[in-house]
Amino acid sequence: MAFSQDLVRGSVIPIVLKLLAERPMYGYEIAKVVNRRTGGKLEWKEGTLYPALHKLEAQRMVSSKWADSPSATGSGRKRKYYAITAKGARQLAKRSAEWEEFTTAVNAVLMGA
Amino acid sequence: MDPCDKLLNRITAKLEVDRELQMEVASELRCHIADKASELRASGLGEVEALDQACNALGEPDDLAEQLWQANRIRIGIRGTLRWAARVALIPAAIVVVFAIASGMAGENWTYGLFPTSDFTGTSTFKLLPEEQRYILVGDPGATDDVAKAKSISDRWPDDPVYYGHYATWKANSQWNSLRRLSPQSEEAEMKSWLDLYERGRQVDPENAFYDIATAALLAQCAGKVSEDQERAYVQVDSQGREKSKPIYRFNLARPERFELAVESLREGLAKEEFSCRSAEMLDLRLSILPEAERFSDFLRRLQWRWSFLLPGLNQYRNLAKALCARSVALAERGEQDEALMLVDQAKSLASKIGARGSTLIELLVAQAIQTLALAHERHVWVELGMPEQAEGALREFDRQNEAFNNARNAPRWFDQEQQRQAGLLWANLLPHFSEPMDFEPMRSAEKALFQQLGLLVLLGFLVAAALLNVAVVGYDLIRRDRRRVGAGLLLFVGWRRIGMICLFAIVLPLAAYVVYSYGLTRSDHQYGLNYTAGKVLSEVGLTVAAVLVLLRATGYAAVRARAAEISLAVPAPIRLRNRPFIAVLGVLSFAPSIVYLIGWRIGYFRPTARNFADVVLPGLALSGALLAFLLIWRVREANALRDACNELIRFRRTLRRSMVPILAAAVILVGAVCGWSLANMEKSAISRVRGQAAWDWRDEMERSTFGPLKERFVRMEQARKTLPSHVQ
Repeated sequence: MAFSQDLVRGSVIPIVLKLLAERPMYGYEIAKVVNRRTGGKLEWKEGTLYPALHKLEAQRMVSSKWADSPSATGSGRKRKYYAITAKGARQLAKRSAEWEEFTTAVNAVLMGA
Repeated sequence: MDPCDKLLNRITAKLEVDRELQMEVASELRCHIADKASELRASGLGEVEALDQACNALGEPDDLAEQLWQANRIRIGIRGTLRWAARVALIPAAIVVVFAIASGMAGENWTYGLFPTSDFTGTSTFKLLPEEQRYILVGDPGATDDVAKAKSISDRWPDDPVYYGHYATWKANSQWNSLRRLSPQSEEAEMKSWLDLYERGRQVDPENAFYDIATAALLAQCAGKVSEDQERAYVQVDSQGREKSKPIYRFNLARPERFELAVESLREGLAKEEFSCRSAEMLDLRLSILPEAERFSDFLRRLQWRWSFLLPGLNQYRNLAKALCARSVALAERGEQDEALMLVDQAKSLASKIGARGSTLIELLVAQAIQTLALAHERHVWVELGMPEQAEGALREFDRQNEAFNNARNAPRWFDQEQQRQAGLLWANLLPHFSEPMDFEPMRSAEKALFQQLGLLVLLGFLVAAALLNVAVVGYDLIRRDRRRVGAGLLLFVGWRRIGMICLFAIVLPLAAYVVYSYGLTRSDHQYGLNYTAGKVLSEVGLTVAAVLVLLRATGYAAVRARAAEISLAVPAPIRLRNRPFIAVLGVLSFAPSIVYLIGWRIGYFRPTARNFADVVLPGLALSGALLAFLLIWRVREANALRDACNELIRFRRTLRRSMVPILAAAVILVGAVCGWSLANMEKSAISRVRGQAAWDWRDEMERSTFGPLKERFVRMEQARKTLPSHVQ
């Protein structure tokens, strides 16, 4: 089942923040992890990820650093790694709480009747 | 251009206003496509198909371009502003910092300028003064020379003896050649302007003997010619015990009436209590109008002022004494005993007047010279009069006074070798005859702070010169850009983390090492002045300057190179010392001697044993020179290496030059502001402590010196003279 684009677009930032809270990642790695965890149900256009990351970086919710990728995976290529900042962590907590309340409220209407 | 590059160009087209960001985003997306294509190839797709799918997975290019622009546009605005500021403001700010430090060292705002007579009317200090005080300082602004300025002050306050004395002294000093040319052949008219000048002085300052004695000197000069007697001489033993032959003088009297007037004028002068050319009072008045010295240069210039003002007309007094002595011998030859003795007594009285009233060493030395001259001639007067006992008495008195003078010269001084080491450059040169202890610390600290500022200026000067050279080359590259079709260099922002690393490794660590060595490990050396520690201070400052320059260049280069690699600019291989054996060896050979010397100094070797240039200064000068030579060779080789790089690296070379400009300028501002401010405050604080000491004045020097007893002797002689009958006073 394909999700509506509005739902997908609205979920990008909390998902990215959540993944970066686990460990620093580069763009393609984030896309791969999302695909793996959602079983491919979230069909992001991979390019969408980068404007979101840049926006978060401009808002100082994530920081970036170019570093050599581990030799096993990256054939020595330099990649831009993103890491969550303290501000991003606070934003993630806020977004998570919001999401929980939102889904509870929507479920109450959609399922509870 | 391959399809991937075309796609990336399309996606990042809107970011073109910020080339660095555009290249960085393209680099990031290129990496993404490469990863994706690699994975697709692993799943069995062909090369072209994998790349196509990887590109398509990014999404609609125009939508993505718009999203990237929206996500980055605020950042682009901020970066654009910062880049503009870096281009426009950093270099001028760095130059301002260097000029601020240099002008602070020169102390232009608070002084009369580099030379005592230089123009200082443009300084803010001067402009803030009331009109009357400004007039006292410089006189009539329309006056053309110093004499006219001095005259304008006297004309405005015509009854003030200080202003008139200042004018008369300036005139005599400035027109010394005209005064010196006057001779027995001169007409009255030629003498008149000078005699009128002194006569007016007598009216304005009637109790001051200065004008009477100056008149006597002038008239005696115009009465006859003094020459050495080839047949007669006397022997004087100097402070080293060596016997020296000195001449007895002859006086060819051509205008006796003038000489009579000279003797009369001298007699009137010797009867007066006061004896001053008033220049010292004028100097005190002027210095009291200005603020106290704040910087070392201010202090030095005030010393220079005091010195330049306190040497008025002493040579005239010696000539007058020679004329009196020579004439007394001639009169004795003719048997005119009373006249002869009166003249020789007047010469002795002139000596005691100068010695008792004078306050500087030079005045005391002139008084002593006149005194010995008079005693030597007195002996010959008695000989000519046929009175051997009195002649013997005069000789004994001559020997006694000469011995007293030599004893004063050879008296044990508080200023021994250890004190000499502690005195610092200025006091070590000015105080060798001083008997009174003084605290050298403030002036020593001021000298060191000034020296460190000089080192700082050298460092900042190199950095600014390097930045300006880069600006010039970048400008030239921009002109050549179209012709070479290589593209302009980028002004890269290397990132705050790298800037922090540059600051830490290239600035903080070398300066911290300097502070630890100079103010920690060799702290005890601060009790010595630069006249002893110049070699060490020169070496440690030179080593620090060289280390900062090398490390700043190396870390700056590494930062720009790393950033350029991140945005996929072609970069050269990293600099490894093993690939540059010549520079590595030369660097070790240049730095190691300085390090060894400083370690040796700390342990106790290499400290100067003698007080000469070779022992004190030469080691530091040679070691710093070696470091400077290394820096020049290293920079030339680096520039050549970059110039010879292949065409692919031309854009990196231009980017490096362009990006190094703000790094160098920011380093100048940072180091200059922090170190310059600290060192200037150290210097000001030291100078304020100097002011807190007993005020330094040349007029105190006689009392402070080992010549104090001689001054007391002249005072006693002056008091005794007043008890004599008036005709010999």
